[in-house]
Amino acid sequence: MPILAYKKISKENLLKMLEEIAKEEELIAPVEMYGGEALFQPVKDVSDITFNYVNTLFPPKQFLLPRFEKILTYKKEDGELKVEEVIEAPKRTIFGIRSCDVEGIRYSEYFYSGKMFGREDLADPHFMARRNNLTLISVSCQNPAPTCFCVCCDAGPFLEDGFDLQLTDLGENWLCEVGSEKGMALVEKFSSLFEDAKEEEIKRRKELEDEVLGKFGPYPAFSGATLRRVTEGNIPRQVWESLGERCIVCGGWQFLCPCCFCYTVVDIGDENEGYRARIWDSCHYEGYSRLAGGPNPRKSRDRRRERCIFHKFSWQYVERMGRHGCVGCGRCVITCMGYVHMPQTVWEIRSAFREESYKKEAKVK
Amino acid sequence: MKAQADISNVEKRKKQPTICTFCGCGCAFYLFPEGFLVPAQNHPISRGKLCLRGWSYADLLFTPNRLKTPLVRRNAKLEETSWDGAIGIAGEKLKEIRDKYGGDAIGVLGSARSSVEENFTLYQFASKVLGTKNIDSFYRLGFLRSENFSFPDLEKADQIILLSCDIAERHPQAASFVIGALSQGAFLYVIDSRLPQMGRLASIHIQPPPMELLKEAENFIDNLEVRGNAYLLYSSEITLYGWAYEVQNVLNKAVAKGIKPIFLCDYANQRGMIEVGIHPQERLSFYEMLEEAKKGNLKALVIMADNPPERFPQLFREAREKLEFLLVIDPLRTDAVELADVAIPGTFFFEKEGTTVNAEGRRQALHPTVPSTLEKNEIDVLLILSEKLGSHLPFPSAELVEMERKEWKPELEPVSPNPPNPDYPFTLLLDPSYIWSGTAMANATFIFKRESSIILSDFPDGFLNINSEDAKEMKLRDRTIVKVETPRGSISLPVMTSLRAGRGVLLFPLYLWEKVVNELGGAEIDQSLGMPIFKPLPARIVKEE
Repeated sequence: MPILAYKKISKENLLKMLEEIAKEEELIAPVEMYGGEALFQPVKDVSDITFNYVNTLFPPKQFLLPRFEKILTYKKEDGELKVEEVIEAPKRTIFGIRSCDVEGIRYSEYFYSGKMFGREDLADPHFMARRNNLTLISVSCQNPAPTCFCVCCDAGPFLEDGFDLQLTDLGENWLCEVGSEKGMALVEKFSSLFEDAKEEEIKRRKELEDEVLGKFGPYPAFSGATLRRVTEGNIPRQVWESLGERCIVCGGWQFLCPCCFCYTVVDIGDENEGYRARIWDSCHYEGYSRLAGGPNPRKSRDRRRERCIFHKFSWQYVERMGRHGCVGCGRCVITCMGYVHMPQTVWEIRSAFREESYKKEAKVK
Repeated sequence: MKAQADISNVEKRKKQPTICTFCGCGCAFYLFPEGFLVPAQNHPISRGKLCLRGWSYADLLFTPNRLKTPLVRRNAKLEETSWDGAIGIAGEKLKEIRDKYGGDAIGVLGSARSSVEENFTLYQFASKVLGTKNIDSFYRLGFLRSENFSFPDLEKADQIILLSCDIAERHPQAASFVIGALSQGAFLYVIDSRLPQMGRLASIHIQPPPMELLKEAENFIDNLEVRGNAYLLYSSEITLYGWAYEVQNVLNKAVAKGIKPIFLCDYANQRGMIEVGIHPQERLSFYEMLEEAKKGNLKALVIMADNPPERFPQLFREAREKLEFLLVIDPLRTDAVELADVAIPGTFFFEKEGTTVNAEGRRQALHPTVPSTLEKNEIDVLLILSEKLGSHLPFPSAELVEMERKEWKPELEPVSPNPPNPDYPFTLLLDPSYIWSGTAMANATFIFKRESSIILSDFPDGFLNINSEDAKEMKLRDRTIVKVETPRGSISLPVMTSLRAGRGVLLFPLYLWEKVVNELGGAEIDQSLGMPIFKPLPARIVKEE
């Protein structure tokens, strides 16, 4: 969808708008924690919102796919089993979400809405109910963190679509791009707070975008070559083995990744009463792909890692999901215990065909 | 630290992190009541990273294994009761036993899953109220006293030696620091009879037979040219194999050459627990308590957040039958709770105030980030219990805990190794890598329970890890049943072939220690440390027809 309108809003007015939103629905915004980290949290008082963050350690994905979610309850009454679906989907607005996370939500939505299979009747009711009640007010990045590489993944620092409103800091004002009907409705509702943006302000946004591109740090992940090599399947076994040796199987990457959405279900309760919950899961765990009776097609760590990268980069998924499975948020760089995060993996796959890299491998062993 | 009045409302509302209750690394994370968990990014240990156990920690909020109400055994069945009722019964029973048999007929077990303050109160309760010196904990298994160190320094190391410790499995955050150091050009030397994950990343991996491991380590350190910051990491294997005395030679040589030795604790608050006095006080150690109870000399046991049946199910059951009274205070419905006379719910680290001490010696504050919904916490229960027994205990303030610290400095004594026997070419070793499998903490989570129980469901009666090359020579395949013979007995186990065991080494997992020990012998008590050890045992294997 093209940009519907260019507006601008002053900094005080934005807070006024957020205050109004917080009264009516759940406002999610970055909040500073005790240790100084920013995290997306429900906000009642707008003075809690922090603007002093590059990217939060967690994407706001728990508001769409909670880490622990009750999906149904069951109860035995007079010998009959009563099963009830639990859908919790309050109206929410996420303020301050970055472009990479907007792309991440779009990617997950492709899977949960059934668009991936061309079967929208298979949509996940829990995820979609929350997605439909969600408004995204994104803030474009002007100072990327050293770990960021969204520019290599076509997911930022500015977006052209996917958001409801995209704000850009112009000093005194925020430039506000309206990206959807939902965003347009929001602007119309608070029309007294918004003004039309001037031509030079729209031009300034383009200039800012060019400036940001020069600020990216040392973690480029040029995914093009990786995409081709993973699709062709001609990556030497040593690369995966070398990556697997350093993997501690924490699963943190998958929990933090805006594009990861795997889950498992557990039943809690007894034969008379209880509930079924779904919780986040990671493909790096041994139990994830273990079959009943014990056989496991991906028993070793390197096989599991290979499968993960295959899902993220293979063309068959890119074709169906509309993009590859990395948005370059750089969170894996922070959370990977074995320092075999996405940029490292991509670099090792890319350099696997150079003779020197083989020699290096031999030395390590 | 800011004065209380200066803290603005925003500051006050800031979410506090909490500390992990699993291994000794002491990672911090933010935990939210809806089950959301975020590693603390600005914490010196977690740095935004957590292991599988840490990520699964939030499951404890929803675990069906939680003990929510006090239980009392009536007519051989555990029944729900009120808090006052349960504490009243426990007080009466303990008073009766104390007055009848004397304080030393009661044993008290503390826990590394409880805070320093709770362990302190338990110690006071035991020594001043019950009047017993039988105070210890099963969470002391494998602990050795060590100096303070700093994990962040490990990342700046130039040389790291791993002396028989599998940090990738048991101390993943430490492994992360080591891999971080490697990526900055450090050298890693692994001295281990097994091939642990870190062995594959090492510049040099020395794989001596278990009996010669410490000798090889001494030789290696003698010949090592120490450059920059060098560290030697060791952990509970050393103690479990009965090498606590011999390893001091290696450590002294290392210190003389400027290498800093680091001992990695297996459990969260192990150091904090021991420094307030939960260690053998000239009287029975934890293992001996069960043995004495089995003989009928110990009449009652008070257990706080400890679960002896995890490692010694048979011994504990036998001891339980002879006990007149068993009181368990635990946040989880453990096997010990199922056998208790009175069980009282406890709290987790994220539900209370207090402090915990990690492997480094770092003292960390606990905050009730998800406040407890229980009527009383452990300290309340112990203070009320002591009133019922006619004594008054002070509230465990920080100053009081600091004042009453009791350092544990055991005089180590050599343990004679099992003599080599030419008829038995293999060496049988205990492998603590699956240390969390089947434990109450692991079973209270969902994802970690699944992961840690794979090995239990694949091999419910245990397995024998054997080197692939050895297996090839002996024509053994995975799951072939073999008979393991030692000079003292034999047992049949399925084989798992891998490169993890070195040539001539047989590994069996720690979680079935008791089962193997009962059949094969080999376990004994190290009197100086007051804990059971399993010395490397000569063995041979016979293929069953």
